[in-house]
Amino acid sequence: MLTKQSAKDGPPEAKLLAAVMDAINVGVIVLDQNECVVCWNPWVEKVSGIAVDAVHGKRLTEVFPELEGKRIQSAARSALRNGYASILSQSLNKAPFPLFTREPATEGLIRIQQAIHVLPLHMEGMAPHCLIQIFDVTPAVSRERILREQAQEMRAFSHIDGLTEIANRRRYDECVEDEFRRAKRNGTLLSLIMIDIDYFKAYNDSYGHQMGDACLTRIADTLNAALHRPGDLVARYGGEEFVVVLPCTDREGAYQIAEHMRSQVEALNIRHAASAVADHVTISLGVASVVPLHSRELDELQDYADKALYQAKHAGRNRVVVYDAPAT
Amino acid sequence: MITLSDIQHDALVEIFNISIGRAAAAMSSIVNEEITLAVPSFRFMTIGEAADALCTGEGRRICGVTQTYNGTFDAEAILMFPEERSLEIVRMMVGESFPLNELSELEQEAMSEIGNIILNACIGTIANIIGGKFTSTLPAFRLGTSREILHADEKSADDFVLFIYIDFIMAKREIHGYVAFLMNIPSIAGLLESVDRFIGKIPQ
Repeated sequence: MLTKQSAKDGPPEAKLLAAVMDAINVGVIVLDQNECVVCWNPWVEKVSGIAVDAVHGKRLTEVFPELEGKRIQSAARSALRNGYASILSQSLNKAPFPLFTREPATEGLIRIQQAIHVLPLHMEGMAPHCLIQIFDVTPAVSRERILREQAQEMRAFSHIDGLTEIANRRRYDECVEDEFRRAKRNGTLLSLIMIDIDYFKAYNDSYGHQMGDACLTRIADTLNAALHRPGDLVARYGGEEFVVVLPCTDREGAYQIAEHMRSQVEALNIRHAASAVADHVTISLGVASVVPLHSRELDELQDYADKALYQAKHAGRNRVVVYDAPAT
Repeated sequence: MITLSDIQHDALVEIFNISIGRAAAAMSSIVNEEITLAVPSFRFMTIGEAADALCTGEGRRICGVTQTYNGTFDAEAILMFPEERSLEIVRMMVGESFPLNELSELEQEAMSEIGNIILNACIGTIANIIGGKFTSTLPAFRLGTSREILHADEKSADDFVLFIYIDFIMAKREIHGYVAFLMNIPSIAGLLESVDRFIGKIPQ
């Protein structure tokens, strides 16, 4: 067994090699042809808690019975018998060796995440040996976990409107397409409500953008509070426009929700002296409802809701108009 | 052009399927889910032809895991998937719930291990047939166009590859991949002679 102790009286090359084994920050285990341990460096001693003297000449699976029949065993055999190299990745082999470090904060033991390389060793006039290198990839694993969490967070943020914190246009686009497909598949109804704040430009002009933002946020909260089913969605569509997706909802049901929204916004009683409709902030709503048959396109449904909203505005605002599909 | 008789082709497909079956069993036990690997066919072709066969579109990247084998003859073996397919495979095997757009460092390593298992199984088969002996390097992960991965621009366009089709089936999904062995003509001739000897041993 190559150790500093055993190399003490050996040739300088052996001393040097033993010193390298001692210093290197990688686990090194060498097996002979019979899968018995002939090298076990101090890195492995330290993290396994097993001294080199205790493993000398023992088969690897005697030292670690849990490795019996595992990939590391077949990789070592493949190296010894066939001369093939193998890698065992951290992702596919959850820390095969029972190796531990102390977590600095809690002093608790944590199992080291490992990447393992198994290589055949060929030496002139000697039976083949097998080198097992163990790398501690624990920091890389936690780095990737953080990266993944951040990416997930960013994705969530990319679907939320920064001001009102309800769904944004992108989230709406994805949602309405999914719901349209679902309704088409199941032959169910899908309703949309398009909403516009009445005379919002005038509100901004007379009260300033800060008040305008506060108004948008309060209305968004109010619209959101009017929905109770998990599949329903309200999104900020553009500046002062909102849109509501209501799966499995007929015209009458959608109208009820729209009217409730209108009255709730009115009940907020946000002062709006520049409005030509009332002395407070109001909204206009257009409702459309379809069973998406094969001939129906999503654009059509959105177009109907838009038309209904336009009619609501023309009919004097602060009201709900339900689109009446022309007879086909 | 190197052509094979039907019996040579069928015999080799049969042999590849046996060893690739063992690789599939090894992978299934790693992920605790049934994985099926199958070799439906293979061909000899020039590097240029192989690069064209792998090219799924202008500038599209291929994910490759490569290993060099030295011994009875020298060959570079490469397992290849279109980049987006490699993402699928790794994610099915690793079971990651939130995928990034590219393979992360650790995922590349997982892909290398998948390639390592498949390539060692393939070369093991060839070694058995020809009664040869090979040693291998560690696998390396590469991303690039099919021409880059196959070194098509460095090698002579007439260099040959043994091009093996591999079907990778997991969780009811089927993903097609390829293994290419870059070999020279004498190595291929040696392989074919061995196949003939092997067929000769099979009782007809």
